[in-house]
Amino acid sequence: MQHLDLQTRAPRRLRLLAWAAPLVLGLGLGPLACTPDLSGDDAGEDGPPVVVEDNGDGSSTVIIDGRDEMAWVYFDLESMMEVTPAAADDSPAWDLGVLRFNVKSNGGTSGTGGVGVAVIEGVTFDSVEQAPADGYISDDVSSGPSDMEPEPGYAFDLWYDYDMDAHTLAPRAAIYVVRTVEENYFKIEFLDYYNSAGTAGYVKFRTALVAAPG
Amino acid sequence: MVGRRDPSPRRRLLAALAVALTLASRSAAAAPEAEVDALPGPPAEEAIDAADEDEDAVEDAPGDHDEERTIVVTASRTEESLGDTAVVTEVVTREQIEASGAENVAEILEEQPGIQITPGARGGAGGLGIRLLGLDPQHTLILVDGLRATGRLNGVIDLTRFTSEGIRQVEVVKGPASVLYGSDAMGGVVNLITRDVDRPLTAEVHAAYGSLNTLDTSGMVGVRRKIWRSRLSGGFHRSDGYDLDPSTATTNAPSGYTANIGHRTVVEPRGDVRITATTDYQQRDLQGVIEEGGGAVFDRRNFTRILGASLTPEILWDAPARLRLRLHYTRFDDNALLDQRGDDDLDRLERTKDQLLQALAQYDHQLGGHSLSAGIEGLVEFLETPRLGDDVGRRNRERVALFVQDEWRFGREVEARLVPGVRVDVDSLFGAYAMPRLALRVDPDPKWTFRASYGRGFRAPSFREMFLDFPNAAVGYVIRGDPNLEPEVSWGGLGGVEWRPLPLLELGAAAFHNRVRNLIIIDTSDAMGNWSYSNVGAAKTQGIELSATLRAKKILQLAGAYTLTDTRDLILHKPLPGRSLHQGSLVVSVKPPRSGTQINLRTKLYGRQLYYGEALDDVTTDPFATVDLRVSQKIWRYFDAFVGVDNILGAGDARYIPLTPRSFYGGVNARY
Repeated sequence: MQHLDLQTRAPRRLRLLAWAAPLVLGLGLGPLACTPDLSGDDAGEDGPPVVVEDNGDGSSTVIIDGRDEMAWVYFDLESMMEVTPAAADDSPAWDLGVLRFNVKSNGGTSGTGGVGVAVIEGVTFDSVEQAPADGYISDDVSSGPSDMEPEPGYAFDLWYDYDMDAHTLAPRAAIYVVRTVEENYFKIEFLDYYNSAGTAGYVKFRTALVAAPG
Repeated sequence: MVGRRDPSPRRRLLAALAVALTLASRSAAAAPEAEVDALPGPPAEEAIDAADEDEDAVEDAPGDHDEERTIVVTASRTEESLGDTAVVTEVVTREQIEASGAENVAEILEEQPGIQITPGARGGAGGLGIRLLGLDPQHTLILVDGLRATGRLNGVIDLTRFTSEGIRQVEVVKGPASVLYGSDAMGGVVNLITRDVDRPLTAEVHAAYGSLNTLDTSGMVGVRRKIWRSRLSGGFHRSDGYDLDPSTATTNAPSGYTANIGHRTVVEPRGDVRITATTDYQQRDLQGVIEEGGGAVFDRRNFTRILGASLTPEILWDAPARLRLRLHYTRFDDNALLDQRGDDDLDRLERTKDQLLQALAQYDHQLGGHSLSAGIEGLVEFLETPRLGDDVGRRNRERVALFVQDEWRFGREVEARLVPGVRVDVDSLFGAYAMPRLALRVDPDPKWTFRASYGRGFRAPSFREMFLDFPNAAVGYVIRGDPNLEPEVSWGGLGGVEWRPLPLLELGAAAFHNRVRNLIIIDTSDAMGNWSYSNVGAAKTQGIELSATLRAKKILQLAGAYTLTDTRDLILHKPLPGRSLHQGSLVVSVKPPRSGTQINLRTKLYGRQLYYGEALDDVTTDPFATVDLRVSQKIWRYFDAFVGVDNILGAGDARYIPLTPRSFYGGVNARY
């Protein structure tokens, strides 16, 4: 048993190596084991819920922060401002409302403002100078959006296309003409649903006043 | 002096076994053999190790083929020689691992025939998983020394987290093995066997540096005495990661480090008692970038800690019986931060804590021609992760399993073995499931071996699949788990023949078939965006594997393999995505005598792969090949130097096949 003889001649201190091993594991790695502070805070605060930019050609670009999953953000086209009606379902103060990807209009089941929306496809924003005489529809929603499920029935229901692969929304190529509470006519082209950081919920559109139907 | 070359006859014998062992590997990845003169090296160690354990093997098979000296455990849950298994086991030995330069298990396995290594998620976030027999990563069970590994993220256990330094061999058993191991073993089992110590003193250092600022360092110290032996190993691995398409922000492999330390002590106070204790700790910090729909860019960081500890007391009665008890605890703790650039809205910090406690008792008994194994296994799993449908995000499950298997040897003229087995799992979440398997092996002649097995596999639904509550507010869909999900089940068979017409040549042919139903997928048929996990999928995979291995003395080894993997989604009526119908591999290993040089060339060819998605058009990728070359040279008694280049042809693309781009490396190994 030469093999074993050799083993017994080994320095005793080597044994320490084996018994110390679990100790090394425990102590040596103690400092390593601290979790680093994982934090992703970016500087800056949220801006106002509605940002309007005058494009200088009679049109404006509007970004409505509709990220809140519970509260609608209301917008008046004439004043180009956010409004906060006390009772939205019976208020002439607003024309459009935004909640996430839902865009409602103050008419039909959504309000008493008589707002109508006409959808024109196959035209450019600039080419629309006069509102169509007919084809106006209004919201027809049986219940409000709940649990973040898309609720069909809004006049603006089809303002976006949904990419099932990337799970993203993209505006459809269509021009909407809105007959407001005050019976003015605005054309609208939806531009985006994401802010520059890619956060969803920012409904962005271009709008301008057009002539009433002749 | 301890550790000096020992010229004892026993040593010589063991060294000779080393050579035999090296030759014995069934895997097509040919490896250079150990030099008989270079005793204080791992190759000799492996042989001694295996030979050592061989003493515990139930029985030695007749015949003198090399394979009979490589000890494997996965096929039957008991030690047996590789040439003796009733179910085909493929082995990658330590020498093969070292010859390939693979630094982790993903790299070890990607070179094996019939195996596909596949990314877990976009941006390298999910690590790399394995596809066996065309099935997905969640259908392969990953074991470490026979014990279930934890930490599946989206169904994938990241194989890059198992670094090579502590691994003695990797065993792969293809085909349903739920009969012994329970859930997940539908496509097969990968068992990582950790290293043991067989010499009075052994020490090893490995250092390599290469493209992408990749640094791999590791070390091992082992001591062996009369009644105990102990090994301590550790490593540090880092890389810059890579980005195959600079036009997008998304990276393809993360940057960061993996540090680990592992320990294993075996105490044998008496000849018939063996107690094994292991502890492992690993820490990883990986960072990458993911770009999501809508243009949001996220800096992703995963800080992961994995702790494992096991205790295995064994009572080895002289014969014919053995009792083994095992206790294992493992804890996987992952902190994942998704930090949206320029905004905080979509930031996510998710902590996943997965703890697994396993207890096992296994009794083996030999009775005439019968080798009986029976066992009971208990498993408790605690998972904490966000979005599990309640405020706490905490779930647990308990499972008890009983298994019994008999290996019945019969026949005189023609040796044959029939291995019936059954396992019953009782899970606190979905009830009882029985998994039978029948395996047959016939050796009509020393040159011929026929093997076939047929059995049932299953995969328990994950906590996520049962309890997830994930409203994607940004878009307006909700994915929910279904607590009433049933396990995925499969029936699968594997049959093959091996022919050894010459001592140098081995040929093999095998065919497999799997049919999986109750596949759990996200049912997106609801137009309103109310989606849920559902048992609505079904798939089948079938194919053939052909292999040829030629070993010309110790100088040249050639191994070639071809795999045909025909897969089908039985609901969509199209092939499963990302599989190559044709796959080939060729390994050439050259070792000019007395030069100390070793050259390894590894090639793998993949045919076209089909990719599709919910709203994606079908995309078919071009065939591609990966070619790796490694040259090593003994430079001094204890030192080897090596250089290599991986993916010489620069195969891969950013979207579908995000392979590591062409990369160069070099380094040194020192062994004492």
